[in-house]
Amino acid sequence: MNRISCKQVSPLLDDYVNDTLLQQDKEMISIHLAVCRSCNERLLVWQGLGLAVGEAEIEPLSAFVEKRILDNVKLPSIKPQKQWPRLRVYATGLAAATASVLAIFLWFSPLFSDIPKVVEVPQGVEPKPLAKTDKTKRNVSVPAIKPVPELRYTQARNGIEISPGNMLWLKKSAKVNVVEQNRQIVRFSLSEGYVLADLGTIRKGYRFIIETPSGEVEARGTAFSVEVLPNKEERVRVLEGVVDVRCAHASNQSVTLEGGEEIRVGESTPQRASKVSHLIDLAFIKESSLQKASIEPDEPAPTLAMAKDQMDIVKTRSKRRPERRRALVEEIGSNNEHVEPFNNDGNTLALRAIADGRLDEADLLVQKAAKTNPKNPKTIDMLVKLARAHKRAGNFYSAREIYMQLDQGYPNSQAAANGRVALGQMALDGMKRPNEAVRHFEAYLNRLPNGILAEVARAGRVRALARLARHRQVISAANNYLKHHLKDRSAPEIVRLMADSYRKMGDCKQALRYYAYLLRMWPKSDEAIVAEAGLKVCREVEPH
Amino acid sequence: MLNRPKKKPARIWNNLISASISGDDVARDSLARECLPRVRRTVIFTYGPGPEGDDLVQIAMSKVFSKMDSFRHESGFYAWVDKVTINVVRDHFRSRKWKLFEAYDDGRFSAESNPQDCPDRQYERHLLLKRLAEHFEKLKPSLRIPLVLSILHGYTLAEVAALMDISKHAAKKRLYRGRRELLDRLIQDPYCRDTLKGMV
Repeated sequence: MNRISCKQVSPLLDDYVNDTLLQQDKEMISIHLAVCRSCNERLLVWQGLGLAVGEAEIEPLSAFVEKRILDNVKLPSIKPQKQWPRLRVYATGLAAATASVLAIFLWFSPLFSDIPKVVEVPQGVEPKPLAKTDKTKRNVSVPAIKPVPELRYTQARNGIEISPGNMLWLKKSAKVNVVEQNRQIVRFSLSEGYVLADLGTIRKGYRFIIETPSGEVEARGTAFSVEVLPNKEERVRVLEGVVDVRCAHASNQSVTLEGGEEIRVGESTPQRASKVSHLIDLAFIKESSLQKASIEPDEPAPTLAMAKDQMDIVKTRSKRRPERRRALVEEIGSNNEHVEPFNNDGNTLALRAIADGRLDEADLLVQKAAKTNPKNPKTIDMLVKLARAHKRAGNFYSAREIYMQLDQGYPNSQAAANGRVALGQMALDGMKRPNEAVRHFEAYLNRLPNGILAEVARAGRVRALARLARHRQVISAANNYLKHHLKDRSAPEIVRLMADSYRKMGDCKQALRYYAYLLRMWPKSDEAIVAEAGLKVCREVEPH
Repeated sequence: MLNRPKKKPARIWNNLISASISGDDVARDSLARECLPRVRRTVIFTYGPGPEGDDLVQIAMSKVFSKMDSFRHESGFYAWVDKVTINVVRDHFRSRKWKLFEAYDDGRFSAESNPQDCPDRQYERHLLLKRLAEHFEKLKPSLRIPLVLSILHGYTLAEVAALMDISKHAAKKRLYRGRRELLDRLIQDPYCRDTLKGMV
């Protein structure tokens, strides 16, 4: 008798189980199964599967869903209505709107302006003939050309367009007022914050001045930034061109700054601006001009109330961050030689920047460090700290990007694994993306099932699943949590979530059981109050 | 075949069907209660468990009862119900292709709860079924549906081919490939492997 291989046996297993093979084939397979452990195992699993699928009871539908389905079946079948009546309504509306717009256009159109008006003439009075001059006037009348204003303010998303090509970019909480504005001069006052003037083409004789509490800065066709810090220190940095800086108490004495120089208002000698600051200014221009939006109030605003703008900036800040970071990273790429992330002491400048809350600067330095010294353990430390700082500041998208960078760059590091938990928490609480949170927590648990943050990850996973209303998964995840961390701090909440899930699935018996367990084990916890309410609801449904 | 259902006399079906078509609510209700577990079982294994599966069950049931007058008694009633259910599931897959690309971590099962933690044995049985359903869910629909028809309802090769509107040869190929893939998955999952072996 010929021997057969596993490959030949495999397709015949189903027929072997169903007893639909020829006797000869059956014998051959029996002989093979007696000697081949793997095929035997496959056969047993296949047979078990048939039995399990055939016998196993499917979890019963919740009473609510079953009632819904059966009720739905009882309803007489309703044929879906054709869509065209609704379409006709839309079409009619659209046609009416088009007709009205057309009518208005034609009414005001110069094509019909020559039509003489019908005038009712009282009886006994002869109508006056139209004066010739009137008619000629009418024929030759040309609409008056509006003089183009010298300055036209357009309030962009985070800046003021003074005239085409000349922008004043405002950052964060900049408080700016227009003090004076006419054909010869525009004068802003900056009481707090950071502004960056990007002046491309300024007419000769035109003056552009920014006043600060202790001085003023006058531009002469240039790009410069003025910053009033909360400690009342004022700084002026020039990217290109020339700027005059004057003190308030000695307005006749001025200091002239050139490109790449920086000065504190009140000092007499300018200093060389640090490259980092220079790059930040450049990146700010780049980013701002990318995000320039066109909102067009034609009239010049006498005072620019920044409250709304600031709100916009705060709202979009975290979303805009990644673009900004990318812009910074690009800048680093092109100015690689200027930035030094590590100083001689070994303490990183970046850590200092993070501690001071200068996250832009820190971003620059950390990205540089990650590029130049990826294997330095300090780099990982800096990335983690920067991500945490962003997270604390509410810049979740920036923080996420850094954590993901950490995960991709150092996939086997402890920091990357812990970053997954941080990502999960951010996704769950900050960004309201429970789906993503589940993924991150599961990634951590797969990597380190007994890791130091396993408790947090398991609890977070249960919370995220509960938020997604995946009740069955909540129950199994909660069971898993309780197996490992029954005495940990989140246990009452997890038991409560599990009981809630049972209740929502319609299994009040189990829900009652877990609510009672929670009240017995943690009677003084906050969850006990919620559990009592749940218990009451369940008892109403299932009194015994 | 292993799970081939016992046939009900055609007379009983015919009476119920004609009564429900004529608008008898009691007949309609009893017919719906007969069909519901079968439809649900088919949906759970072809689509997967969960609230979306329940929605599909509802759609399939509605279709069965709204189109009942088009049932021509050329096949068994259950076969017709299965055909409608499978068409509903396939339509759903076509309309929601992204569902096929939803990524799951392969280690998810090990991170899920261990059946030993479960409050009672009933839950354990449900968990086994849920795990099996999840293994089924990982197969491609084109392999999964014939496999479910064959294992769950005990249809023969020719019947599977007719239900799926494919040739016998294609059905045979799909069944073979689906079985091979499913067995590989089941053998890799220690819980399923041991439990299923223990059942024989």
